[in-house]
Amino acid sequence: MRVDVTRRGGFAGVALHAALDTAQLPAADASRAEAALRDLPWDRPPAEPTGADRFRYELATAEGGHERHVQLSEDEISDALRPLLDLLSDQGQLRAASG
Amino acid sequence: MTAHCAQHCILPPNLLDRLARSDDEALRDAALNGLALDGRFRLARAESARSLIRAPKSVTFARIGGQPQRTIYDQQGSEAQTPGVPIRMEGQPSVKDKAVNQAYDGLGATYAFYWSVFERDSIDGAGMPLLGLVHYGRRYPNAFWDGAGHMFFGDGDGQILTQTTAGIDVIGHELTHGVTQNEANLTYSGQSGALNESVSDVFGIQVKQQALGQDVHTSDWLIGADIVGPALRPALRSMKQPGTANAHDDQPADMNGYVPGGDVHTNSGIPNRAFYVVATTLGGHAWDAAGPIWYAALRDPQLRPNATFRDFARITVKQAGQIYGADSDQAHAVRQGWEAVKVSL
Repeated sequence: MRVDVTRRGGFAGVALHAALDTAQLPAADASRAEAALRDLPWDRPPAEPTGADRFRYELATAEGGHERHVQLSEDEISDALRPLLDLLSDQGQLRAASG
Repeated sequence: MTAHCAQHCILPPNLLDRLARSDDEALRDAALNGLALDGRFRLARAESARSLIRAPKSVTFARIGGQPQRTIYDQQGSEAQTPGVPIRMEGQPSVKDKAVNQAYDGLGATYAFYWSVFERDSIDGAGMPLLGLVHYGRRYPNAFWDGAGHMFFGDGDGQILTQTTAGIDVIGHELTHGVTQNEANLTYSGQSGALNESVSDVFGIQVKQQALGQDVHTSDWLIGADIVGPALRPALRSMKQPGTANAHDDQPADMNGYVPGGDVHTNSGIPNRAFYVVATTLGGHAWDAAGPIWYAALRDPQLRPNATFRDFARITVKQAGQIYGADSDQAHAVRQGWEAVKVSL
């Protein structure tokens, strides 16, 4: 399952982006991540952040032919998604905060 | 989240959410359009906040200020959102864990800045405990304020950031988010969010300047210089020259470069530079006049959670006039600062 992930916010104010595929993960991690991705509240309106300088994650997929988006606060990330975010840390490209 | 009827009656968000997953395409489209209205209603709520007077604070005489109450916790690499193992309490000597000591010292310096300059007793002005939570997450390149009285610090990933407790300006920045929450409570998006960010940089840099004995000319006005990894050297932000701090710095230096919808850490460059201009125009230490003017503005009941740059600028001009006189050097410097960044009054 392909998913585009961008991490924004944070004290440093830079963005980190990667186009990922759950197929890059070990099989067990991949299926857990896919189940978690399917259960995300896709296309819900973004919630107001609590606190300050927290990361937020923007995910986008084109599963089934139409684009879906969701924005998650870092404290909404379940354990099943962590291996995917580790891929982002390894492979992601830095961008300017608003880029 | 509750939706209120204004001119339009709104279906509750969970119902809209279910409709948005409907098999019926027409229903899905209608629901998604309804959800898109949410943004406009949040704006309307922010507007309605204008009419609310800030709640008066209760006063307690049970405590004489002047001493922080610090506790530093080790989160042990966990992402738990509550304090982990307490390692160093107020008054205890240095420990082996360098991050714990840095957090302890940085919180002490920040407390001392607010007490010595403003007689402010901690985050809430009433001696609120200072809780620093270090070693949060795994190779976590960030530090944050959780809105519930805790400051979290990551160890960094070695590339974007290194140990975040090493930045005394970082610690001052995070604690100042708590001060802002207790004062104007600037909403963390749009221009009010950029102001919120800027206020944290403005007081964070002064904490560093005071700790290092720097005046407005000897300070480098760089944020995060002590915590950047190789990817973001030499610093995260420059208050003197926004946009020049590192290869990915997209901060504008004036309103011509304002980024609509930009991250709050992007557009904060504009009010940051205004403060830099005011402080350097006046000379001496930033907390001689510029800092007190900004602090008075932050505490002014006219500064609403949804304030714009212009709203804030006007209040700084008003406060400068009230504290120093309408024709004072300080009032003139404040006008110059906002003119330099093209925020019209």
